[in-house]
Amino acid sequence: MKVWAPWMAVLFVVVAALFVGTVGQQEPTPTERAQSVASTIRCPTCDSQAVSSSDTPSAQAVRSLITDRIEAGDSDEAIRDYVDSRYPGQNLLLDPAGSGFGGLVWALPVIMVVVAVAGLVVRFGSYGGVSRTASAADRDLVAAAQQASEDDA
Amino acid sequence: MTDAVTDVENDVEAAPRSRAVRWAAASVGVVMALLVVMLLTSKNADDQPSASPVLGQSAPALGGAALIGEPFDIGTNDRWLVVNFFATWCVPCVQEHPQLRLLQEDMAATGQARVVSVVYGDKAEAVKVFFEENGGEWTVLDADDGRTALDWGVAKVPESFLVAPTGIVVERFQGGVVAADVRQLIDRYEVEGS
Repeated sequence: MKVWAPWMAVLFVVVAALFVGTVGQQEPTPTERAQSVASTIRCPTCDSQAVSSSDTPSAQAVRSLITDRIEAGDSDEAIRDYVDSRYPGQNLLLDPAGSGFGGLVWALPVIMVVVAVAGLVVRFGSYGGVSRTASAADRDLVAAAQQASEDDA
Repeated sequence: MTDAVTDVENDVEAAPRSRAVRWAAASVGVVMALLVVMLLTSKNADDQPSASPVLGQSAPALGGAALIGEPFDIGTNDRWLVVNFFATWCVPCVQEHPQLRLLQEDMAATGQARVVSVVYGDKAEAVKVFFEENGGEWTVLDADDGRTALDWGVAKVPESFLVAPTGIVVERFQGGVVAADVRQLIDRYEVEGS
Protein backbone atom coordinates (compact mmCIF):
# COMPACT_ATOMS: atom_id res chain seq x y z
CA MET A 1 0.00 0.00 0.00
CA LYS A 2 2.76 2.44 0.98
CA VAL A 3 4.71 1.65 -2.19
CA TRP A 4 1.73 2.55 -4.35
CA ALA A 5 0.85 5.81 -2.59
CA PRO A 6 3.28 8.04 -4.57
CA TRP A 7 2.24 6.38 -7.82
CA MET A 8 -1.41 7.04 -7.03
CA ALA A 9 -0.52 10.69 -6.35
CA VAL A 10 1.27 10.95 -9.72
CA LEU A 11 -1.68 9.32 -11.48
CA PHE A 12 -4.10 11.73 -9.80
CA VAL A 13 -2.06 14.78 -10.88
CA VAL A 14 -1.78 13.53 -14.49
CA VAL A 15 -5.51 12.79 -14.76
CA ALA A 16 -6.41 16.12 -13.18
CA ALA A 17 -4.07 17.99 -15.54
CA LEU A 18 -5.51 16.19 -18.59
CA PHE A 19 -9.04 16.92 -17.41
CA VAL A 20 -8.37 20.62 -16.90
CA GLY A 21 -6.44 20.81 -20.19
CA THR A 22 -9.19 19.26 -22.30
CA VAL A 23 -12.53 19.82 -20.60
CA GLY A 24 -11.93 22.83 -18.40
CA GLN A 25 -11.06 25.19 -21.25
CA GLN A 26 -13.48 27.84 -22.41
CA GLU A 27 -14.96 27.65 -25.89
CA PRO A 28 -12.67 29.71 -28.18
CA THR A 29 -14.15 32.86 -29.67
CA PRO A 30 -14.63 32.95 -33.49
CA THR A 31 -11.60 35.25 -33.75
CA GLU A 32 -9.43 32.83 -31.79
CA ARG A 33 -10.65 29.96 -33.93
CA ALA A 34 -9.93 31.89 -37.14
CA GLN A 35 -6.44 32.68 -35.83
CA SER A 36 -5.72 29.08 -34.95
CA VAL A 37 -6.99 27.76 -38.29
CA ALA A 38 -5.00 30.43 -40.16
CA SER A 39 -1.83 29.38 -38.34
CA THR A 40 -2.16 25.82 -39.65
CA ILE A 41 -2.51 26.72 -43.33
CA ARG A 42 0.47 27.71 -45.45
CA CYS A 43 0.11 30.83 -47.56
CA PRO A 44 -0.27 29.56 -51.16
CA THR A 45 2.34 31.95 -52.56
CA CYS A 46 4.87 31.66 -49.72
CA ASP A 47 7.33 28.88 -49.05
CA SER A 48 6.68 28.09 -45.42
CA GLN A 49 4.82 31.01 -43.90
CA ALA A 50 1.42 30.55 -42.33
CA VAL A 51 -1.58 32.44 -43.64
CA SER A 52 -1.87 34.09 -40.22
CA SER A 53 1.49 35.83 -40.58
CA SER A 54 1.50 36.72 -44.26
CA ASP A 55 0.14 39.79 -46.01
CA THR A 56 0.09 38.49 -49.57
CA PRO A 57 -3.23 38.68 -51.45
CA SER A 58 -3.54 34.89 -51.35
CA ALA A 59 -3.14 34.85 -47.57
CA GLN A 60 -5.70 37.64 -47.16
CA ALA A 61 -8.13 35.66 -49.30
CA VAL A 62 -7.70 32.57 -47.14
CA ARG A 63 -8.17 34.62 -43.94
CA SER A 64 -11.34 36.17 -45.34
CA LEU A 65 -12.60 32.72 -46.28
CA ILE A 66 -11.85 31.34 -42.80
CA THR A 67 -13.77 34.16 -41.11
CA ASP A 68 -16.81 33.67 -43.36
CA ARG A 69 -16.86 29.88 -43.09
CA ILE A 70 -16.57 30.01 -39.29
CA GLU A 71 -19.51 32.42 -39.23
CA ALA A 72 -21.40 29.99 -41.46
CA GLY A 73 -20.78 27.28 -38.87
CA ASP A 74 -18.22 25.13 -40.68
CA SER A 75 -15.77 22.99 -38.74
CA ASP A 76 -12.07 23.88 -38.67
CA GLU A 77 -11.26 20.66 -40.49
CA ALA A 78 -13.78 21.40 -43.28
CA ILE A 79 -12.24 24.85 -43.82
CA ARG A 80 -8.72 23.42 -43.94
CA ASP A 81 -9.80 20.73 -46.39
CA TYR A 82 -11.48 23.27 -48.67
CA VAL A 83 -8.42 25.53 -48.87
CA ASP A 84 -6.20 22.50 -49.45
CA SER A 85 -8.54 21.31 -52.24
CA ARG A 86 -8.18 24.64 -54.06
CA TYR A 87 -4.44 24.18 -54.51
CA PRO A 88 -3.97 20.48 -55.17
CA GLY A 89 -0.52 19.02 -54.75
CA GLN A 90 0.85 22.03 -52.91
CA ASN A 91 0.68 20.65 -49.37
CA LEU A 92 -0.86 23.73 -47.82
CA LEU A 93 -1.61 22.13 -44.46
CA LEU A 94 1.16 22.91 -41.97
CA ASP A 95 -0.24 20.35 -39.53
CA PRO A 96 -0.21 17.02 -41.33
CA ALA A 97 -3.54 15.29 -41.79
CA GLY A 98 -4.66 13.06 -38.95
CA SER A 99 -5.49 10.13 -41.22
CA GLY A 100 -3.89 8.24 -44.09
CA PHE A 101 -0.16 8.29 -44.71
CA GLY A 102 0.20 11.68 -42.98
CA GLY A 103 -1.23 10.13 -39.83
CA LEU A 104 2.09 8.31 -39.37
CA VAL A 105 3.59 11.60 -38.25
CA TRP A 106 1.24 11.60 -35.25
CA ALA A 107 1.21 7.86 -34.61
CA LEU A 108 4.96 7.11 -34.86
CA PRO A 109 6.09 9.08 -31.78
CA VAL A 110 3.39 7.39 -29.67
CA ILE A 111 4.36 3.97 -31.03
CA MET A 112 8.04 4.71 -30.33
CA VAL A 113 7.29 5.69 -26.71
CA VAL A 114 5.24 2.53 -26.16
CA VAL A 115 7.94 0.35 -27.71
CA ALA A 116 10.67 2.09 -25.68
CA VAL A 117 8.78 1.69 -22.39
CA ALA A 118 8.00 -1.92 -23.23
CA GLY A 119 11.67 -2.48 -24.02
CA LEU A 120 12.74 -0.95 -20.71
CA VAL A 121 10.21 -3.04 -18.78
CA VAL A 122 11.39 -6.22 -20.48
CA ARG A 123 15.05 -5.34 -19.94
CA PHE A 124 14.89 -4.16 -16.35
CA GLY A 125 11.91 -6.15 -15.19
CA SER A 126 14.15 -9.19 -14.69
CA TYR A 127 16.36 -7.28 -12.24
CA GLY A 128 13.83 -6.83 -9.49
CA GLY A 129 12.23 -9.62 -7.54
CA VAL A 130 14.83 -12.25 -8.31
CA SER A 131 16.84 -12.70 -5.13
CA ARG A 132 20.09 -14.45 -5.54
CA THR A 133 21.09 -16.81 -2.79
CA ALA A 134 24.59 -18.12 -2.59
CA SER A 135 24.84 -21.82 -3.16
CA ALA A 136 27.14 -24.16 -1.28
CA ALA A 137 29.47 -24.18 -4.29
CA ASP A 138 29.67 -20.32 -4.14
CA ARG A 139 30.55 -20.46 -0.44
CA ASP A 140 33.25 -23.02 -1.11
CA LEU A 141 34.63 -20.79 -3.89
CA VAL A 142 34.77 -17.75 -1.58
CA ALA A 143 36.29 -19.75 1.24
CA ALA A 144 38.93 -21.10 -1.11
CA ALA A 145 39.74 -17.59 -2.37
CA GLN A 146 39.99 -16.21 1.13
CA GLN A 147 42.20 -19.10 2.13
CA ALA A 148 44.40 -18.43 -0.87
CA SER A 149 44.81 -14.71 -0.08
CA GLU A 150 45.53 -15.47 3.55
CA ASP A 151 48.17 -17.92 2.43
CA ASP A 152 49.72 -15.24 0.22
CA ALA A 153 49.87 -12.72 3.04
CA MET B 1 40.25 -15.58 -10.34
CA THR B 2 37.55 -13.02 -9.51
CA ASP B 3 38.33 -11.15 -12.74
CA ALA B 4 37.81 -14.30 -14.72
CA VAL B 5 34.37 -14.81 -13.18
CA THR B 6 33.14 -11.30 -14.10
CA ASP B 7 34.53 -11.68 -17.61
CA VAL B 8 32.53 -14.83 -18.13
CA GLU B 9 29.39 -13.11 -16.85
CA ASN B 10 29.95 -10.15 -19.18
CA ASP B 11 30.36 -12.42 -22.16
CA VAL B 12 27.11 -14.19 -21.39
CA GLU B 13 25.26 -10.87 -21.21
CA ALA B 14 27.09 -9.25 -24.12
CA ALA B 15 25.72 -11.65 -26.71
CA PRO B 16 21.99 -10.72 -26.58
CA ARG B 17 22.74 -7.04 -25.95
CA SER B 18 24.94 -6.64 -29.04
CA ARG B 19 22.34 -8.50 -31.08
CA ALA B 20 19.69 -5.99 -29.95
CA VAL B 21 22.03 -3.10 -30.75
CA ARG B 22 22.67 -4.54 -34.19
CA TRP B 23 18.92 -4.86 -34.81
CA ALA B 24 18.29 -1.30 -33.66
CA ALA B 25 21.11 0.06 -35.80
CA ALA B 26 19.91 -1.89 -38.82
CA SER B 27 16.31 -0.68 -38.48
CA VAL B 28 17.42 2.93 -38.05
CA GLY B 29 19.60 2.50 -41.11
CA VAL B 30 16.70 1.12 -43.16
CA VAL B 31 14.45 4.02 -42.12
CA MET B 32 17.16 6.53 -43.07
CA ALA B 33 17.67 4.85 -46.44
CA LEU B 34 13.90 4.92 -47.10
CA LEU B 35 13.80 8.64 -46.26
CA VAL B 36 16.64 9.36 -48.67
CA VAL B 37 14.87 7.37 -51.41
CA MET B 38 11.63 9.27 -50.71
CA LEU B 39 13.39 12.63 -50.92
CA LEU B 40 15.14 11.68 -54.14
CA THR B 41 12.04 10.38 -55.88
CA SER B 42 9.51 12.98 -54.71
CA LYS B 43 8.81 15.58 -57.36
CA ASN B 44 9.42 19.22 -56.67
CA ALA B 45 6.10 21.09 -56.69
CA ASP B 46 7.67 24.00 -58.61
CA ASP B 47 8.86 21.82 -61.48
CA GLN B 48 5.46 20.77 -62.71
CA PRO B 49 2.33 22.70 -63.68
CA SER B 50 0.20 22.54 -60.56
CA ALA B 51 -3.12 20.79 -60.79
CA SER B 52 -6.25 22.89 -60.97
CA PRO B 53 -9.36 22.17 -58.91
CA VAL B 54 -11.69 23.73 -61.50
CA LEU B 55 -10.45 22.16 -64.73
CA GLY B 56 -13.19 19.92 -66.14
CA GLN B 57 -15.64 21.19 -63.49
CA SER B 58 -18.38 23.76 -63.80
CA ALA B 59 -16.99 27.23 -63.29
CA PRO B 60 -17.17 28.66 -59.75
CA ALA B 61 -19.09 31.90 -59.31
CA LEU B 62 -17.48 35.25 -60.11
CA GLY B 63 -18.45 37.11 -57.00
CA GLY B 64 -16.86 40.55 -57.26
CA ALA B 65 -18.80 43.68 -58.15
CA ALA B 66 -18.12 45.18 -61.58
CA LEU B 67 -15.47 47.91 -61.42
CA ILE B 68 -15.58 48.50 -65.15
CA GLY B 69 -18.26 47.50 -67.63
CA GLU B 70 -21.55 45.76 -67.03
CA PRO B 71 -22.21 43.41 -64.14
CA PHE B 72 -21.61 39.84 -65.12
CA ASP B 73 -23.37 36.66 -64.07
CA ILE B 74 -21.54 33.51 -65.07
CA GLY B 75 -24.72 31.49 -64.51
CA THR B 76 -26.53 33.10 -67.46
CA ASN B 77 -23.51 33.22 -69.76
CA ASP B 78 -23.95 31.36 -73.06
CA ARG B 79 -20.74 32.23 -74.88
CA TRP B 80 -17.16 31.10 -74.70
CA LEU B 81 -15.60 32.92 -71.80
CA VAL B 82 -12.05 33.88 -70.97
CA VAL B 83 -11.78 34.50 -67.24
CA ASN B 84 -8.59 36.44 -66.61
CA PHE B 85 -7.03 37.08 -63.20
CA PHE B 86 -4.63 40.02 -63.19
CA ALA B 87 -3.07 42.90 -61.26
CA THR B 88 -1.64 46.16 -62.55
CA TRP B 89 1.53 45.64 -60.48
CA CYS B 90 2.24 42.38 -62.27
CA VAL B 91 4.49 42.90 -65.29
CA PRO B 92 3.42 39.78 -67.26
CA CYS B 93 -0.21 40.92 -66.78
CA VAL B 94 0.59 44.30 -68.33
CA GLN B 95 2.35 42.52 -71.18
CA GLU B 96 -0.64 40.24 -71.63
CA HIS B 97 -3.13 43.10 -71.88
CA PRO B 98 -2.85 43.73 -75.68
CA GLN B 99 -3.59 40.04 -76.30
CA LEU B 100 -6.77 40.26 -74.26
CA ARG B 101 -7.77 43.37 -76.19
CA LEU B 102 -7.16 41.53 -79.44
CA LEU B 103 -9.27 38.63 -78.24
CA GLN B 104 -12.11 40.84 -77.08
CA GLU B 105 -12.16 42.99 -80.25
CA ASP B 106 -12.01 39.97 -82.49
CA MET B 107 -14.42 37.59 -80.81
CA ALA B 108 -16.84 39.85 -78.98
CA ALA B 109 -17.82 41.36 -82.35
CA THR B 110 -19.02 37.97 -83.56
CA GLY B 111 -20.65 37.19 -80.26
CA GLN B 112 -18.60 34.01 -80.02
CA ALA B 113 -16.65 34.79 -76.90
CA ARG B 114 -16.12 37.39 -74.24
CA VAL B 115 -13.45 38.34 -71.75
CA VAL B 116 -14.00 38.93 -68.05
CA SER B 117 -11.14 40.08 -65.85
CA VAL B 118 -10.92 39.63 -62.10
CA VAL B 119 -8.65 41.92 -60.11
CA TYR B 120 -6.14 40.11 -57.91
CA GLY B 121 -4.66 41.92 -54.92
CA ASP B 122 -4.88 45.36 -56.45
CA LYS B 123 -6.66 48.63 -55.75
CA ALA B 124 -9.78 49.63 -57.69
CA GLU B 125 -8.35 53.07 -58.54
CA ALA B 126 -5.16 51.59 -59.97
CA VAL B 127 -7.20 49.25 -62.16
CA LYS B 128 -9.44 52.05 -63.44
CA VAL B 129 -6.42 54.20 -64.30
CA PHE B 130 -4.78 51.21 -66.01
CA PHE B 131 -7.80 50.55 -68.24
CA GLU B 132 -8.15 54.24 -69.09
CA GLU B 133 -4.53 54.35 -70.18
CA ASN B 134 -4.32 50.98 -71.93
CA GLY B 135 -7.81 50.54 -73.27
CA GLY B 136 -9.93 47.45 -73.09
CA GLU B 137 -13.67 47.30 -72.97
CA TRP B 138 -14.84 44.34 -71.03
CA THR B 139 -16.18 43.66 -67.59
CA VAL B 140 -13.60 43.92 -64.82
CA LEU B 141 -14.68 42.50 -61.48
CA ASP B 142 -13.45 43.66 -58.11
CA ALA B 143 -10.95 41.49 -56.23
CA ASP B 144 -13.60 40.56 -53.62
CA ASP B 145 -10.87 40.02 -51.00
CA GLY B 146 -9.26 37.48 -53.31
CA ARG B 147 -12.11 35.07 -52.62
CA THR B 148 -12.97 34.52 -56.28
CA ALA B 149 -9.31 33.74 -57.02
CA LEU B 150 -9.25 31.31 -54.09
CA ASP B 151 -12.36 29.52 -55.37
CA TRP B 152 -10.70 29.21 -58.77
CA GLY B 153 -7.43 28.01 -57.24
CA VAL B 154 -5.48 31.03 -58.43
CA ALA B 155 -2.42 32.09 -56.45
CA LYS B 156 -0.16 33.65 -59.07
CA VAL B 157 -1.22 36.13 -61.74
CA PRO B 158 -1.62 36.28 -64.65
CA GLU B 159 -3.76 33.22 -64.88
CA SER B 160 -6.71 32.67 -67.20
CA PHE B 161 -9.35 30.05 -67.84
CA LEU B 162 -11.35 29.16 -70.89
CA VAL B 163 -14.95 28.36 -70.00
CA ALA B 164 -17.20 26.63 -72.52
CA PRO B 165 -20.73 27.96 -73.16
CA THR B 166 -21.93 24.97 -71.13
CA GLY B 167 -20.22 26.46 -68.06
CA ILE B 168 -17.45 23.85 -67.89
CA VAL B 169 -13.86 25.06 -67.45
CA VAL B 170 -11.94 23.47 -70.33
CA GLU B 171 -8.53 25.15 -70.31
CA ARG B 172 -6.21 26.80 -67.85
CA PHE B 173 -3.50 29.27 -68.85
CA GLN B 174 -0.81 29.90 -66.26
CA GLY B 175 0.95 33.04 -67.42
CA GLY B 176 -0.16 35.38 -70.16
CA VAL B 177 -2.63 34.25 -72.82
CA VAL B 178 -2.04 34.56 -76.55
CA ALA B 179 -5.15 35.57 -78.52
CA ALA B 180 -4.40 33.31 -81.50
CA ASP B 181 -3.97 30.27 -79.23
CA VAL B 182 -7.26 30.89 -77.46
CA ARG B 183 -9.07 31.33 -80.79
CA GLN B 184 -7.58 28.08 -82.06
CA LEU B 185 -8.65 26.23 -78.92
CA ILE B 186 -12.22 27.53 -79.18
CA ASP B 187 -12.37 26.51 -82.84
CA ARG B 188 -11.06 23.04 -82.01
CA TYR B 189 -13.54 22.52 -79.17
CA GLU B 190 -16.40 23.70 -81.36
CA VAL B 191 -15.45 21.21 -84.08
CA GLU B 192 -15.19 18.44 -81.50
CA GLY B 193 -18.45 19.43 -79.90
CA SER B 194 -20.50 19.60 -83.09
